[in-house]
Amino acid sequence: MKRNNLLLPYACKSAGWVLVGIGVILTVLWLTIEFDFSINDIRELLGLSPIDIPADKPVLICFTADTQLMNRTLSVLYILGGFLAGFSRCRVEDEFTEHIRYRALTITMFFLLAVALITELFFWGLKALIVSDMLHMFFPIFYVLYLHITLYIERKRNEE
Amino acid sequence: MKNSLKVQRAILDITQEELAHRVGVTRQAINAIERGKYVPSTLLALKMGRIFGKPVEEIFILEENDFDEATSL
Repeated sequence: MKRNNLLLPYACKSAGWVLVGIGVILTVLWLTIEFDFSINDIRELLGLSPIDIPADKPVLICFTADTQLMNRTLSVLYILGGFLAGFSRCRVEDEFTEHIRYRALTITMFFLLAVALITELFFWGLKALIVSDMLHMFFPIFYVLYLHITLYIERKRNEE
Repeated sequence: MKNSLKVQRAILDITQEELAHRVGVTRQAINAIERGKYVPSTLLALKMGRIFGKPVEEIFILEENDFDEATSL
């Protein structure tokens, strides 16, 4: 059968789960003890003097040295981890696995579009920004969870 | 569409795992096909036909409502 060359190697799946796991731990810390950090916090931890990146100075990533980075960090962890875990080849990849993968992608898109529509209709201002910001995290998390839960359920079905 | 995959396996006395190995898919795929939850590709159906020594039409049987679904599109 023709291999799906769009998928990453199987080894990337573990790396993806590690990133998602780190994201979950940081999320718990963020929600419980309001753990957050900036570049200057990290520099202080390493015994370095604080730096000043003016807000109007063009930088590759638009933040200052004191910008709280947890939100961005979580986004990157979930998006990258979800991408690696969700778009890596399974140990054995066949047409049925591709069928489940397609179904997971379709259902995820339905869910995301529904959330996007509800956001546009019922949320304004800062709340809309927060939900919109979380949407791009929802996709990999929802897709990865749906895909792997479905694969797990199918794997556990015994011969009748 | 219904199928007689389970019957054909019983005739040959092979498990889902063995059939899956012979046609190059996972046991989950065979299980899903037997339960009617997944329709195999033409290639997979032809492979199964060859393994069982039967025409594909004897293993996978079209039902009347399969035509209704096509015309309603």
